[in-house]
Amino acid sequence: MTKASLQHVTVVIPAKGHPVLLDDAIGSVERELEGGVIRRLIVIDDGCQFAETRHALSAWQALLGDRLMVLHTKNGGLSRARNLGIETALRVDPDLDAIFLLDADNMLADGAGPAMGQLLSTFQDADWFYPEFDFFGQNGHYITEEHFDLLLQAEANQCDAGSLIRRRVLDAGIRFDETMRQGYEDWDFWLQAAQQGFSGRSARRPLMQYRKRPVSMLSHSHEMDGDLRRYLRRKHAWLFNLPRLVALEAESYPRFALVEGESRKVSLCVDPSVQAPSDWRGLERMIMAHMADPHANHAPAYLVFLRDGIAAHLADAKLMHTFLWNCERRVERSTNDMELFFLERSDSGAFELQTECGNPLRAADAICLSLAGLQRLLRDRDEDWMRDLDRLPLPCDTDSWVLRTPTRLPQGAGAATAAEIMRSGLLSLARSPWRSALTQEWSWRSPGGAVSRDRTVQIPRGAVGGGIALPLLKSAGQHDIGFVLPIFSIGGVEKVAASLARDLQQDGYRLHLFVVSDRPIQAEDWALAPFASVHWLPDANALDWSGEEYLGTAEPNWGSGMQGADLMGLLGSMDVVINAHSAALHKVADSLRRKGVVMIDHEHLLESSTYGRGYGPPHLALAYEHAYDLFLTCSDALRTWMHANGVPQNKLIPVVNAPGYPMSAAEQRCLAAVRGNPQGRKAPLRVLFLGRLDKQKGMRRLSTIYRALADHLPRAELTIAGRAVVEEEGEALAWPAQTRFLGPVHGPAALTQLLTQTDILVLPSHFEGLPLSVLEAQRCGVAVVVTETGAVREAVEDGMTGFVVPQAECERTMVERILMLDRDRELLARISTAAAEQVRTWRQSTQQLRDWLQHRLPEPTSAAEKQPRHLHMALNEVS
Amino acid sequence: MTMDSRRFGLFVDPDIAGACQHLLPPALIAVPVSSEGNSVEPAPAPGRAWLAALVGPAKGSVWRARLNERGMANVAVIEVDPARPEHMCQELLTLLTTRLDTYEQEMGETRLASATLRRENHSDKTRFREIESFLYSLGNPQIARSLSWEPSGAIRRLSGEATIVQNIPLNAVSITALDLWLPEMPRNRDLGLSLSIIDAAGTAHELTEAYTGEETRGGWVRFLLDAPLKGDARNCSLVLRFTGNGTLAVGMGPRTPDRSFAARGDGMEEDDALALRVWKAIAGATLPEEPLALLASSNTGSHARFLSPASLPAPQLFAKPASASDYVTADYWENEDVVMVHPSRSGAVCAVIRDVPLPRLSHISAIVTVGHPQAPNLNMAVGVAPAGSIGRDGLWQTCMGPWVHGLPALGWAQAHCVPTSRINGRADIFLAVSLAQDVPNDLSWGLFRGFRVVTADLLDDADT
Repeated sequence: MTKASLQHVTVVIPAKGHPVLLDDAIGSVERELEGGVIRRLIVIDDGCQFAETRHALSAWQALLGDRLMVLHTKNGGLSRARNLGIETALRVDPDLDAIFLLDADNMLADGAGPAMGQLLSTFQDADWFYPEFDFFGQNGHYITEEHFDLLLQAEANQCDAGSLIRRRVLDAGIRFDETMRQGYEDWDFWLQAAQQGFSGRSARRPLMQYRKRPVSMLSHSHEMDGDLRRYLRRKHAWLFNLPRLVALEAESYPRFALVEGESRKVSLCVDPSVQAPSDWRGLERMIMAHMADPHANHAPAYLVFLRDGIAAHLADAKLMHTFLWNCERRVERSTNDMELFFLERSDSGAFELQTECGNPLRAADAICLSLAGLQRLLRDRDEDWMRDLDRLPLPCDTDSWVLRTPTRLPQGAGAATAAEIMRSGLLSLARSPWRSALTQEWSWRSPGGAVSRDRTVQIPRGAVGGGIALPLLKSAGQHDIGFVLPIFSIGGVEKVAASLARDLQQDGYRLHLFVVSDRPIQAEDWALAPFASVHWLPDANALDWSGEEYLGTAEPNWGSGMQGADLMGLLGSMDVVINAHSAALHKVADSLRRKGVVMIDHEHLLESSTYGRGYGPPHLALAYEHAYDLFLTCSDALRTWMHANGVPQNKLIPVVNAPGYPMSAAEQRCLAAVRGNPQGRKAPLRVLFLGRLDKQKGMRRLSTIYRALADHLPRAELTIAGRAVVEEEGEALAWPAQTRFLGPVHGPAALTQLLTQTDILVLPSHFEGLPLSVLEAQRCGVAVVVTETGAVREAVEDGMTGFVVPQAECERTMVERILMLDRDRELLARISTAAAEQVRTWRQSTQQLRDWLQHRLPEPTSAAEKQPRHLHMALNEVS
Repeated sequence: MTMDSRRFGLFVDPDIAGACQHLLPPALIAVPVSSEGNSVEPAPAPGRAWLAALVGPAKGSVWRARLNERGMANVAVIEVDPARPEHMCQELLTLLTTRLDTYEQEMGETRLASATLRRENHSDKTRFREIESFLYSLGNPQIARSLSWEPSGAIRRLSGEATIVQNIPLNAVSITALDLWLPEMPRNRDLGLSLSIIDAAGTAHELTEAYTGEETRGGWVRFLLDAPLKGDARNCSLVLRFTGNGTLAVGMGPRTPDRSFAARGDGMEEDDALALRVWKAIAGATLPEEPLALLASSNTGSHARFLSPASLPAPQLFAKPASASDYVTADYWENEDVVMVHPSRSGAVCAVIRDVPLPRLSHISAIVTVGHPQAPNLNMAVGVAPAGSIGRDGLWQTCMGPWVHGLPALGWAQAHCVPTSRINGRADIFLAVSLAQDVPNDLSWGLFRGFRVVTADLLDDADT
């Protein structure tokens, strides 16, 4: 006796409404009973409205004896009937191996029983077997996937309920969802099975004949497609989330083909940090195979032709992910099939990005060409056109963008340009030996609901409203935290974000920086060091501040079209997003939170208008209180303000500012020793203003103060360090002759040196949060004289660790305090020592936040965990 | 212990069991079941039909709910008054006679349905006969070509024991014959080649060689199934097994980028697909009923051989129209192993491959393609004449075979020629190409990828 004949299969038929066609279904089972694999039939009369159904079942009962078991029940829906049949089958036959679910108007194929036995004995690892979609009535034969593929299953159901299901799946408690009475319950069933690690395969032989009618429950389900999909996405959030779908995409369907240099070195990837090496011939074959049968063969959705060294340069600058994401976004959101890219050296020392640069008369460093565009070129263009691709400008509609980095660019004046690399690739494809395959039909089956492989790139987008999905894979054992800022230009907010990131990195988190605007990234090395990747969403209108107002603070108009969805695609793979003043992010914060991203808002500053009206980011954040899990504030005072204005207390954690750049304890001790006792020095007083030369900082006040000091202390050193960033005073100010203008001071070493050569820091701001310059100065033993604003009192105890003066007539009071300190060098020394001793560290400031994150986030998954039981061969093949 | 063969049963409430026990017919199984659950639970069982539950007064609704819960909504509930048990008999009889009445009615319906289906079947047969008659009047078409992968000129040689598996992108149903391009296979010779189609269910369907003769002349060899494949729609593949002593040259078709359709087996490249034609039977025809051997004897003793351009002397431009002012040429392209002939807008251009040993040549065919995707349609022909018999001013057209007309860009075909003059030893092969339309001759590359020659004498390898 063969193993196949030892198998025991029970067929379950739920019956409602087909009293005559039911005979055909039962008859088809009866024919297979003799084969010995199918040993029993269970029919569930699901409260059929026709008495004829019960009469028919009685007659079949008389004929089939104990090989048929009939249950009559009140109508409870298809799912309940199937579940009842499954429960009964498991109870009645403890030695059962598998169940086949057959609808009452379908039929088993001839030889289905032995075929089931063979499948069960041959493919021991498969948990269920789904038949080919072979229809009668409305004739048709549809493609089915040979192996159950979870990514494709997320897009469309690959398996009919009429499948052969092993007992172990049912013993695991997988059942049909009885609340799903409008359809797609089979889709849900297989997703449940997949969640528990089960997997199926196509029977690849006739098991069942499926009656297809113009109108059916399934077609009704398609009408309700949107509602049912939403239900499935909610229920199966374990699958319908961006990181999971991107991971599934990366397993089998590389999104990018990176083609580098004249030799056309090829690597395939979703995440550029996990590349599979290939070669041009392999890629050419993938493309041709895809064009020959797009439902069977995958090819990367984007071909990126790169001049030698460009990819390595971008990777070193942590920009490779954002490069690919922007390439994909630009191609998808424009009408062009290809986008040009230029890499340049930045003169300003910043990372810069420029969009909409047209089709210039210069050779591109990279070109991104969509697979769809490539197919159009191969179809519509001749070789003459392709040969012209190294001409400038390119002979097609295209646009371009530029990235500028402060580091030295790859050398390669003589190296092949991206257009030349693309040109040779296209000509190779046009002359491909496989091109004749495109004139053949490679499948006799219709696509039906099969997913064309060029849609795989779109499946992860489905989890984020259609936004372009960041090609980033999770790192085993690490949570990803994204910092989102509207600009990153060495301001206080940026320094705080970098300091926070540095502390979180120490705790094992993987950090990413996102700038939501097209502004340059101006950062010192230490500030970018904690980030594993740096990104731009370069929408200029993300900063236009011309949208609706909430409590007197305007939002940007940004967010139309797919802008919001794209930001979700950019951030959807993060476990935590910390929003540091990006108003654009507020617009999608709630959606991200609903997708499972922990949303944190970080507020720094209450701004004040000319007329003293409070406005600014904290006001806008109040409008989106519901969209965030947590609010961080730079001070206790701001925490109190946020609470007073409606943010629940347990959603608030103060992360009180600490000095804005790192300094070791040893260095601090050394500085204290160097400073010594100014009383003994009798040297001219050294006064410093450090910060942006913006109106907010009280520049006119500073001018008055410096002029008064020059009158009283003609030998005093008066220094100004910084530059205007946001808004200059608008009129020329008069400065005493001895004022030194240093311009911006970059880098911790330069700052520390400046502060060690300073006795007093003066900060006559109209409004502040908790200024980092004050904290940095205090750490270096500088006495600070500041106006009463924001949370300065949390850093300065008046008369003990500095001086806090009222806003009214602050110029006069500040001059008085400075003159007093000049006179009383002992007081100056006391304040210097006290200030240096009281300074806090970021480690202390972030303790509460780090505890909260540890409690809030689940254990990060390891790489091996949650892997589907089947892995595809596509990547193996190309490698 | 013997099984109880009785099929119908009743649940009996113990409270009234005594009252009705003597009234129940012995053909029914009576199972005592208490509504309080202190007796046997009512449960559906395979092969058993429960007719009714006999329960005490006022217990009907409790029983109804209980039976519904257990999937026995069809079981009737009869309340029995212990004081008047004969009423129970009446209700039971009513229940049974109602079922009897129903079944007799349904029996009548079933007989009517059978008669209706027989009538429809008869009508279908009559109409099918009419369609069949009409088909006979159309010349008795029986098969249709369902797949055609033309030879590309690439040859793989099998030796020893070899197996090739080729997936076929067709539904297996109705396949009846299959042609392979075996350019060097002599006819009527058992080379140890067996072919079968394996369907998705794993069943092998053997094919046998059809000795039709005509196929062999062009290199195509036909293999037949006993009957067209039947059953449900399903995928299939071709398995070719060679167990002969010599070598077998198998012609390859288009190169396939899709690995699932690459021929798998010894000596195959990773993108080879067999040159293949698949025929399906029309409307159940079985083809042919018996192998044809009409021309078998006439070709006995011939030898077929495939010659690639690399194995032949270099081509020379032989003739071009006198008025031709555009660029024409004839050349051998080593990378592709083809002879290219570039025609003129003014007329046909002819190239010659001189002095090829083809003793007692009976037939030559050439695999021709139009080489460029933007080429205009081309006409192509092959010809042969005894070596040196046609001078530069001679009428080369007289030795050509029929022209292949209007071959489109990237099109593939075979051109044939039967020598008009007897060829005893060496021959010149003429390759002619012309434009099918009056257009510029840009990119009009006529490519000759290989030649199949049938000779009475065996060719010596050294000769070619």
